[in-house]
Amino acid sequence: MNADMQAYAGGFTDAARQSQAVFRRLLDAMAQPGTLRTMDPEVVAPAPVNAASAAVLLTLADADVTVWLGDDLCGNDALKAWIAFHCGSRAVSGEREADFVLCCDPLVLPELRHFRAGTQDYPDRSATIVLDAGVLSATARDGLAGLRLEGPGIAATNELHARTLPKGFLGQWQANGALFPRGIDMILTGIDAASGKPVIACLPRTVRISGTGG
Amino acid sequence: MTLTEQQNARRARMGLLARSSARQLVELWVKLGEEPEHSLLRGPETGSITLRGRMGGGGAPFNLGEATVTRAAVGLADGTVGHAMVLGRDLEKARIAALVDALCQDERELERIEGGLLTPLRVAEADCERVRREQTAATKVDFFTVVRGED
Amino acid sequence: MYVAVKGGEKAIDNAHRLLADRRRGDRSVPALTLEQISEQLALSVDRVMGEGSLYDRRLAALAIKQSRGDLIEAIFLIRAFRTTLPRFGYSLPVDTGTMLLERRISACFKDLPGGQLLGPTFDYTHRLLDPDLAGDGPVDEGVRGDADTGAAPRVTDLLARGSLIEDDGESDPEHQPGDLTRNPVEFPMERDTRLQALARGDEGFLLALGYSTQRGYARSHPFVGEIRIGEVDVEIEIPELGFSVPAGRVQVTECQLVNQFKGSASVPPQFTRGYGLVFGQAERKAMSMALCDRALRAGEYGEDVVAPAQDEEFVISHCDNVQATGFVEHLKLPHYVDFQAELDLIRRMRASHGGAPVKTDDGQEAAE
Repeated sequence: MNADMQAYAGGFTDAARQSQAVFRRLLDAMAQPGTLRTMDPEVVAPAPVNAASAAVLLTLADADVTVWLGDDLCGNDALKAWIAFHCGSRAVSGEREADFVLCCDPLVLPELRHFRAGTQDYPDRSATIVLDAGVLSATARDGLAGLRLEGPGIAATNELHARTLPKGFLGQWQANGALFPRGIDMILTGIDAASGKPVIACLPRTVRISGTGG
Repeated sequence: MTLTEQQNARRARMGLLARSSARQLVELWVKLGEEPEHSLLRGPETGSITLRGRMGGGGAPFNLGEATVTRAAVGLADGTVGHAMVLGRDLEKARIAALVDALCQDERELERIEGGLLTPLRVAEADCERVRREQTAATKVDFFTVVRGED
Repeated sequence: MYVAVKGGEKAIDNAHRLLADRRRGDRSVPALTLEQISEQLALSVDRVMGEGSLYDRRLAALAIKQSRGDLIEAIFLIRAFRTTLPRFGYSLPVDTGTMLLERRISACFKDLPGGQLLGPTFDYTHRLLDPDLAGDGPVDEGVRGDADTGAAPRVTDLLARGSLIEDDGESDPEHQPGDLTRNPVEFPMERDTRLQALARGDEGFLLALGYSTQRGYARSHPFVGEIRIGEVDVEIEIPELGFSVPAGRVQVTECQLVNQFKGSASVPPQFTRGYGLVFGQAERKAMSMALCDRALRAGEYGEDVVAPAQDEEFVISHCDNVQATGFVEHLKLPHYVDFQAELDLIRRMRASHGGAPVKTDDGQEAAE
């Protein structure tokens, strides 16, 4: 398949139903921070975007929103063409203009304070970051960094383990939490360590995160 | 942005297809013979676009309202992609317009379609527009101001 | 406060069926076709498209048929339908200067490039009912004239070459115009969002407000610089192509008002402007919109806000007839508990007022 055709392939085959199904899981994942939700639809975005990120983008991004691509992706013309065709979103070059941020390498993601956190009157006018964390797991595994989550939607504590997170993530997240009701929300995507399926876990701004030390 | 001659021709073609009457387009399309092998990459699907005007006619844009629009993207067997974005809700019109757009990217096909489809559409449009212009022109007035005399 | 009530399903079903029956009316009369509505009640269709804020003649015709000709109900139907459509994007701003004209007049200049074109106007009719229209007699086609009238640039562009009239202003290509269908309304508004609200606003309401400015409530002394009606090209950017394509044409009415302005501390005396742009052939609406637009720009010119038409929050909050209908008609919903409380209150007030004792039983039964 040439690059031109790649842009047209890989979208939902049944947009209404599939996007509703993904949206339902996103809601659940946001309501119960840190829990893993499988992304079923077989969608394919140009590399290196994983299937879960692609499904999230296809569901949430449309012509009314702006998408900012991380430094790892901003030179990726195939991806830009794919987003233009399937989502119709406006690509922006400044991170402060972004409604959605797509990044596949947590190590190049700018610090959270660079993104829009909304206003006191409209805290919803903030950025949502879709970040590929590689592998996600509900339980501790070798090579995965552990997060202990507390806050609304979590009975006591939840654990989430991810392969790659941004540098100094805990500190950044704490600063993000201090902005409440403003703040950034995050959707981590990757492969479920247990099932090998595309999966997401959400970190809404309300969640408090500490390390598990694992 | 300046477009190439080819892009300009393609733009004009897509506009002509979009403005054409669906009935005439289908008729001419059927007459052209068998449809080429193709896959639907997207649609045809109906949605809306927000129409914009400019404040004062030439100033900054504002959102005037929405319009229904139908779009389609088709891929031919050789990988050529055709697009259509046409006002209204006619799915078949959008699908055919996308196919025509795809085919016309090939010089030989273009010649065939130019004669069998695009030219008749262009003629019909020109006729229709001329009638409109002439009827409007017949209502052109010359107002005479009655001079208020001093004496 | 209103409370949920249960029951009445059967009655509601039957009411719907009765509505359908009455809508159809006498079965010996042929049913209306959408083509008939679209062709012969074209200005109703235009109003429904404009205030329904969705350009689609056939849908508007269907809405008119379904609403039995109640245009605000039809507008409501269109607004409801448009929420079901995925939005593909935004058009480039339409260029009214290159319109395929059907009408074009100016009250400021009698001789202007492109000429004055009356088009299909009611203006010079005598408003006498025509009994012939009760039948279906033959109707002559329009007379053909010489179509070579040359370019017809916007009058305001001609005027703007001097500095006696305010120009269109600079536009920042990066600025995204406000969209009240996407973001909550905030006051004060930018002029772009205000124009969007006015474009879909109720014709009657805006007409009355516009009229009020002429009668001295925010006097603005307007002239019709130009009214033009015709079709404009709609161009849509197709991201995957990298350029915009024409997607068809829509009919619009544009009104340019030119208003006297005696100047302020920062602005010299000049003509200022009000702008109206509406779907379809809707001259009264476009003029009303332009009058209100100018009145609402009071702040820009340092004018005192003294009249209703200048009060942005008042005008914008009340110009939408679907919103207004919703709030007015909600009064029909069961307010039984509310009313019982009020009834009780009135009784107690009466009692303490020392008036005659009130019979309670009848009143209570009636209210329930």
